[in-house]
Amino acid sequence: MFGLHLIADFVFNFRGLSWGSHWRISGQIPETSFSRLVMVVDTRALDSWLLHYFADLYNSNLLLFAVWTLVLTVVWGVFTSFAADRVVRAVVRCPID
Amino acid sequence: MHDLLLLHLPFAGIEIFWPAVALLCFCAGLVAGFFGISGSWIIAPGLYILGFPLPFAIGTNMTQLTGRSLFSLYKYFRFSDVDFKLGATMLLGGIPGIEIGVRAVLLLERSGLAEEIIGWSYAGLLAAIIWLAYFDAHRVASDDPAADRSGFYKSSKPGWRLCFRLFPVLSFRQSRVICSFWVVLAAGMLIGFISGLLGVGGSLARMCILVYLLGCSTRNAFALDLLLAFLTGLYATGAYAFRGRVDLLAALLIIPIISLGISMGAAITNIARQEAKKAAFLFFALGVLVSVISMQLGYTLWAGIFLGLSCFICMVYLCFFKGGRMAG
Repeated sequence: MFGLHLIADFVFNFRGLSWGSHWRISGQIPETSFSRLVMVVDTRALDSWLLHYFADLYNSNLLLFAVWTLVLTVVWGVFTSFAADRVVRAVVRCPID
Repeated sequence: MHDLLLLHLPFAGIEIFWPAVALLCFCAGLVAGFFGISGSWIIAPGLYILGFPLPFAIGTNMTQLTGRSLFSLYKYFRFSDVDFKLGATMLLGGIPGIEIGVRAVLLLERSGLAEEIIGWSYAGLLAAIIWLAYFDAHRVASDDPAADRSGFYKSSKPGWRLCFRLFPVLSFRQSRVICSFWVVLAAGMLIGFISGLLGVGGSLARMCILVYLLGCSTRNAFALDLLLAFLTGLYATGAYAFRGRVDLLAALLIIPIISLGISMGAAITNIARQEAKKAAFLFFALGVLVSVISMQLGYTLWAGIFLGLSCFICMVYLCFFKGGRMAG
């Protein structure tokens, strides 16, 4: 029954449905708690307004946080790769290609 | 002084010893630049050893794949090198594979088994990579006629190659491969699942499948691998960020260090000896493997020491000696 609960939770990723199916099948509470983990950022300790903005976004709108993460990491990755290539080409003085 | 060496990561809710993270990322970048593969199979377990919660280590690691892959694809290849049909078919399996992997990680996290199962999976993955690298080094050293100097097998059957005739059979014109749709889909899904579960780019597995199983040329395989690494990395980053398992601050800090390491590795690879490269690769992978095993057995301090030592020795060896010759 525990395995069935794991599979249901995995497939549906929906707590109510998987709990319901568990109750119907076994009729008892499992030993392991499968309550969703809610992650929040403690914004009180943040000094930077930019970090504060992203922390608020993380706490309130994860979809927008994910979009920002994608945009920032791709742009930052391309820029730093380009810059690192230029720096190393200048310092090491050997063909990178 | 002590406070200066610790960095608070607000999203993961931890404090890290940032010089160790910087050293790890730089060394992983060096090794990745040497071999033209992503260093994510070192960084993800390394971040876990250095104190990141495992889902955050995986999610944060995925962020460094996208920008670099896009840059490398633009710099080293033309888009005409990419077999888009083969890529789209692999991506069709890859995206669900990643999603299953991400859900598996979250499920393991909720059930409290993530550290145990994924930690030992890292040990298995590293052992497989070490075995593959050792096998490759041994094969080239023994002058296997099928192996070229770069270590890749040359295709014994030039021209179109047919494998697995199972309906529907597709022909991939750019790669000159005829193959069953299901084989390509399953390969994409398997790699996607491994990527999503362990936070690795899957370049090594993808290259093996494209070159050895499907018979693509290495140039086509490299170009396709970079495109797929970008697209699957993009999806995996989004999937982990949407579940709140990416530390944006850590990601923005590790990306430039890894980029610098990769660029240095790519520069040094032209002057280092082939044997030195393989020795450094094997040594570093072995060091990370020992660290992961120590971590899983509960020796956290020793895991950190092993990881730091292997990073330091690998960096000094590659940057200053380049395989027996002093840099100058």
